[in-house]
Amino acid sequence: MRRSLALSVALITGTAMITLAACTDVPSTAGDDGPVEAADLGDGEPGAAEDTEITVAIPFPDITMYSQYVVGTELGFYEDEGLSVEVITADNVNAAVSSGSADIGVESAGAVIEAVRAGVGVMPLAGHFCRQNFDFAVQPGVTSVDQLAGTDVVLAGTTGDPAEFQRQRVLKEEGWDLDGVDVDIVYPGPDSATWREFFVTDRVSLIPFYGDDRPALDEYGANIVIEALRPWANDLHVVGKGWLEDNPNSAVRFLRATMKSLEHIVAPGVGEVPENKDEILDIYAANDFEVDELRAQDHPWILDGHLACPNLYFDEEAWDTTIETQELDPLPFDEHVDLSYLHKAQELLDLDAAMPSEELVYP
Amino acid sequence: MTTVTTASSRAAGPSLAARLAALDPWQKALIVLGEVLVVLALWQLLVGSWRVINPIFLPPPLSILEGFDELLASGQLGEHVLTSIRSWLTGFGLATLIGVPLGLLMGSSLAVDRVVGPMAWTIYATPMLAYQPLALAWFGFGTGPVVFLVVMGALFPILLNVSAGMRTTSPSLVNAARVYGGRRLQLYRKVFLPSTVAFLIAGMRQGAVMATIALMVAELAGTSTGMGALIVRTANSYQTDQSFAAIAMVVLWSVGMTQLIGGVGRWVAPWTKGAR
Repeated sequence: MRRSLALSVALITGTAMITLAACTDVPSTAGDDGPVEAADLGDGEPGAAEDTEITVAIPFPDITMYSQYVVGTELGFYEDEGLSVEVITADNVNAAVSSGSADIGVESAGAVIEAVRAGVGVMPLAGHFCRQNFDFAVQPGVTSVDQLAGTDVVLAGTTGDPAEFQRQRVLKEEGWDLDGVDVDIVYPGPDSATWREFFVTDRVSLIPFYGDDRPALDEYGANIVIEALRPWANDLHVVGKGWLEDNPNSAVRFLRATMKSLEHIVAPGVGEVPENKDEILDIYAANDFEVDELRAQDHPWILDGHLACPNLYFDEEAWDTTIETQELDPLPFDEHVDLSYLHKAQELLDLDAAMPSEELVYP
Repeated sequence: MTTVTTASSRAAGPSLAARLAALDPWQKALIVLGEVLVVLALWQLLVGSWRVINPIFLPPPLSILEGFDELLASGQLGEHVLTSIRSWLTGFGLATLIGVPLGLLMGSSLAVDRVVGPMAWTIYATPMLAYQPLALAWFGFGTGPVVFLVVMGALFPILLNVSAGMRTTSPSLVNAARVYGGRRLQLYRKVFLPSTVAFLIAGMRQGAVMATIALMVAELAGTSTGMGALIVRTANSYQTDQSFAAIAMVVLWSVGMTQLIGGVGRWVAPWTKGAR
């Protein structure tokens, strides 16, 4: 009896080991199949949308950054294209898109490139915000980088966030090179409100911040040492390759409606006080966003229009710049990206495909 | 119908459960090994070859091995492992130092039990994740909040088990010791502690697992070194083979520590064998 059991075990073990040995052909994840073939989208108006109910995944709700979908829905831009848009939040947007939980996602450019490299099954569809602001605050009384020695500083919410390299680069370019200073880089979590709280309780000496952090930092007496803008891709629109093949018209129509929505938000143009501010803020308020502070402000960047490119600009240069500034490993653009859908939508709206050339300065 | 079935199973000999129970430890270990290998082989086949699931989200075993190799080759693994082990040992040591005497006190004194017990159970019942941001706020960054959370994870299983062990000490033994003139300290050393060892070891084994969970929770944010930080960093860049390799190492550490504590328990208190 024992012999037969031992034999069974030996057989099972042997089979398992043989199967393991036979399965050594782990498929390659990074694509190396040559350039992506451009989709043939024909001339003139796109056909009817295939998928009419589009789910858009965003990393977190933000009053301005991800609100063009709300605005586009309220103003009927998506309806005009035969689409309805539902916005959901996802911890990992690339995974949500790849798994089909969302049709289209919005994710930071570096994270998208890393997902493409890893073979997650997603592809950049278009740009989202085409510029980034780099604003940094240091503790009151700190006037030079040397004074940060021996303190904790925040450059990103979580370890491994490629944005850390961009921030370090901008700091260096603006005269706050951390390389030669003995600082501890710490990671308080993804939400900038947490960074701000650690800052105003004097736990950290330097933080990056965003517009909504500014009032609290001013009240605390923070020394705002850098306010800089870079023409570096911020977020990208990303899609699953399978969904894009099955729904080319939906993709083009979605992009066209989103561009119209962005144009309406930044009108009369990027860098100017938005003429539709009150209407847009009413839409935000109707969608449960707090707008009181924004209503009180009156400057060109109030709706984050300075970060937006209404043509959803994205190209190989933006891809390469992201790789360079985030210190990522090189990845060939043409093997992973097909911009036909973006170019088609731009063409339909008579928009240029290039990066808008406005010189923007801090108001 | 039932009679026929029973008769036929009798004719076939002892049941599978009985046959398995009759195996010696080596044969049992072989069976477990076989099970593990079958699961690994199936996993490799389904994900690695047939790609039923995208291997980025669930890397197959051979990719995880490659990920481990890459981590070794990167030269950074040692620093992460050492940081985590240091925090774990410090936190677990502190938890034991606090938990054992406090548990003995709780078990021997109703008043202490009434005061400390409800508080201990309340803190124990709170999810560890809830303490994570607080730990950062209280202790700042670095190893402070990590050690704090490891202590919080390991302390209560030890404390509550020791306390329960104390209460199960046979009153006859205590009375006998008192009759023979045993003083309070002697009672603790010669009666309470030996009869509590099985509970202490069980508490420490649970504590070891909880300490590892707490370590991961603590290292997922706030710090750039440690196994939790390594998991976040590799997952952020979709090097999930490396993330899973790091997770496997953490699991091995956790299982290894529980086995080690169990082994030490059998060695220092052989009379407790079978009680755990």
